[in-house]
Amino acid sequence: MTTYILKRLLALVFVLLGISIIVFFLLQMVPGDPALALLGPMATPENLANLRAALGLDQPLIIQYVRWLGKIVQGDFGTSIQQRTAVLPLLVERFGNTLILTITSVVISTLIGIPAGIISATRQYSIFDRLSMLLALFGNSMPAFWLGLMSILVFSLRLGWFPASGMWPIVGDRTFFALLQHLTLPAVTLGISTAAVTARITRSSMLEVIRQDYVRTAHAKGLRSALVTRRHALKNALLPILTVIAVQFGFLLGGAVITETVFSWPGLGLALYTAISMRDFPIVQGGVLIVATAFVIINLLVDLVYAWVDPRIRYG
Amino acid sequence: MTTASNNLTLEPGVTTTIRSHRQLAMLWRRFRRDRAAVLGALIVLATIGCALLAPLIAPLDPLQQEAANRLQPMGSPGHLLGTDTNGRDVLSRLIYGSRVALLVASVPVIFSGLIGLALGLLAGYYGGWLDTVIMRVADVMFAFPAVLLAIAIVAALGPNQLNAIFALTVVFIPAFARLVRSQVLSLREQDFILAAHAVGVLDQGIIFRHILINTLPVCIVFATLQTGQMIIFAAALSFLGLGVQPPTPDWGAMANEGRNAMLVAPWVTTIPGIAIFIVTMGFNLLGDGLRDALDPRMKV
Repeated sequence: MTTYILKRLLALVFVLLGISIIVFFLLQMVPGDPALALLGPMATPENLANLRAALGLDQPLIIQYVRWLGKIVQGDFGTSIQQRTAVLPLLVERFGNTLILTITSVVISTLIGIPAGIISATRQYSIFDRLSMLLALFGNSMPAFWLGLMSILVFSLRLGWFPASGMWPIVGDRTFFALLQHLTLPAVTLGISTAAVTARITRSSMLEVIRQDYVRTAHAKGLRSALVTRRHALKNALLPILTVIAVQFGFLLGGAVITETVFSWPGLGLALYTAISMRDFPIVQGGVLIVATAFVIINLLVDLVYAWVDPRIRYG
Repeated sequence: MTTASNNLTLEPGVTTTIRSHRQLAMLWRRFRRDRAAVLGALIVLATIGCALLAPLIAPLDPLQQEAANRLQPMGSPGHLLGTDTNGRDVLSRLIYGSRVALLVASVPVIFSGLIGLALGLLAGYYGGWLDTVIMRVADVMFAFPAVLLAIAIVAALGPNQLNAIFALTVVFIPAFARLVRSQVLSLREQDFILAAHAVGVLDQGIIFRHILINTLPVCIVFATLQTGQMIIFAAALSFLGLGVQPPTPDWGAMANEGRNAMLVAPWVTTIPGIAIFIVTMGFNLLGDGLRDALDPRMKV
């Protein structure tokens, strides 16, 4: 297992290096002079020259990249052009809010998706199976931003059950209940869109397992169906489900840009969206880098769990 | 060996062989029996029809603003689906929007499909350093959530339709490349490929006449499913103001334009969303149906 972990960590370093190259070159893709793009058309030639020198834009690209990477490794993500503050603390605070939203969504998605998939598989072709797969198809075909808008329209504007935007009330205490109230609509919106995929994968994975001989044997031994499902089938069907949940987590981190914009949730996604509108590139670069890094680390952790649970992977 | 059978490989180790027109007819029969798939095909065809015939079937000019007719409800005279915040006919914009939706979704699928196909064929067939380089680059790109990478690329290049298409193309290349590579890895060990090697068929011949043709069906299924997802992605970019720019009628942008008037005129936001939902569902049903027809064992 130690060798496997070391191998995976080495691979992670290369992937992170690749991510940093892509994120660095994002700024190079900005048409025209990056300094002009950063400072805007009103910038004086003097300011432009100063910024070019400060950013090292007069140096070869490889030198620029190495310098940039050196700063990133030391936690210097640059300064926000609009807010004139260091990028990293700002993004870390926002990332915390995004994690609250994303983790809640993953929990919702898992709580809906896995039971629905299990019941669908154990009662294949029943009304429940057909209905849940139809709902999964709907969930998979529905744009999250639209689902968010519809939930605001119904549950916030019409029924007044939940607030339409933000993370805390504008006036009042910042209680856990207030957070839950604000969290419900965005988390459910994000969670439902991914629950569909989780349900489908759980169903197909369970169907594969429950046709195996050892499950048939367990039934033949007279074990209760629920016990066979829980102890024999689900345990063995869990690995692909786990992978999908990890992938969904990354998808939700990326998709949070859209949901956070719809619900004005003060997370990393909303910060990115605002930064894009303001052409605040250090925030865009930093935000993309943080999300991508979080995504690969989550994938690594899942792979390690995978290898721990199923030794064949380590020796494969 | 040049007339080798067409193997429809859906996943490594799972192959179906089409040897004759009779088997193609059998595929068609299987597809036709799947009511959901037929419904999907009809939705897709209707959308394509709407897009092609937009100037003929749209009741009004989608850009024509009528200040006096702002936010007219559904069913009002001359405006079956009402008007938006600028007094433009929602139905006409919806019909013209199908053109944009199909364009912004299908062009990235075609280009990312072609590039991914080429890269996957090279990586899978030749292996070695070429495979390592292509797949490691794909790994790095997979490290980014697709939406986020697309948003970042558009943010850097500037928001417009062309850049949105470019961003979506780039983002989806690795998925196609990985799929094709896995197919090629499985195919190149098949007897008919080994036999082609044995009788001295050149690499190009094997790639184009045997492997490529056997990879295409899987790519078509994947591309169909991807088109549905691409419609959602493209609409999301437009919704964020990063894709198609106003006043061009686009479903994502239309949903965004109606946001501020959602309480008084919910149809402005609701209708484009329903259109995205139905068309995406159409592509999903069609893709699932094609997959099941190609190999019923894959049926979920």
